[in-house]
Amino acid sequence: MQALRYFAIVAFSASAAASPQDFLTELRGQAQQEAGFRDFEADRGHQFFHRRHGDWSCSSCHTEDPRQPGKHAVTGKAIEPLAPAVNPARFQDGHKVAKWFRRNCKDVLGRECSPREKGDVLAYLLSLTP
Amino acid sequence: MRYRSLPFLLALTLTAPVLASGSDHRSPPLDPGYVAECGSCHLPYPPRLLGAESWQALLGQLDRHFQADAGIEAAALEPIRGYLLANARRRPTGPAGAPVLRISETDWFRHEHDEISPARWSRVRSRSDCGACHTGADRGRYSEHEIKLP
Repeated sequence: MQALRYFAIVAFSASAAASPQDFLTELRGQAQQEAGFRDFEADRGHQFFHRRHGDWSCSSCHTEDPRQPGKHAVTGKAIEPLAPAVNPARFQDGHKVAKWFRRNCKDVLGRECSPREKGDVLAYLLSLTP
Repeated sequence: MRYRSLPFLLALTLTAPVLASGSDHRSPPLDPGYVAECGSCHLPYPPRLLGAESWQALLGQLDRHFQADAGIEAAALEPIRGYLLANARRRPTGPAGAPVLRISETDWFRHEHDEISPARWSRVRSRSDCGACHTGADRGRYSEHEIKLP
């Protein structure tokens, strides 16, 4: 029984653990279903990240430079930097990535982001160096 | 006064620093799972600040949580619900046991803060920003000994 539980935990962790490149690959597979998609573009992600989609943009909390620590626009809570180059803990956990994209896109855009939009933003974040 | 046993002295020695640090029954440590989930966006407010009916109402609409989407998966939510309800405030927080969604609108909050002047409040970003005065708020500590007025 103990062994079974251990196996279950390991299997679960393995399915949740990933790297930013794994997410990019997964998102690319989904985005290819969208008409006219060629590949993700860091420039497009940069524009999307900084554009106001209503009251807010991604940078409202993550700041204009995602290599810097951010601050929640409403509560003032500190936010760790988003760019993997300066914060290797980012884009490692599938559950976290799915949760925060879902929540934050709904807050900023009033809807979920498309795979292309997510991939563009991730490509932009990965293009940043320390 | 004579202490007859070494165990008694030892017990006194071990508990005294704990009592002095303020970790009494009114400020138990916050649940790490709760802090990780809810504390990633805002101060992890201790369960005792709201009644069970209020926590239930809040958790029932997390996808519309004060104009933000704070929805989480059911599997992650249930342990948090259990923690909040088990440690919720027992005394009423609002009229006739109705849920109060904002801690700052509870009867006890108004009473505890009724001596704070509007001028003082104007120096605080929001009434939800407990840490502006309560220096131990991020650890769930609200003792009168840990207040620094702005």
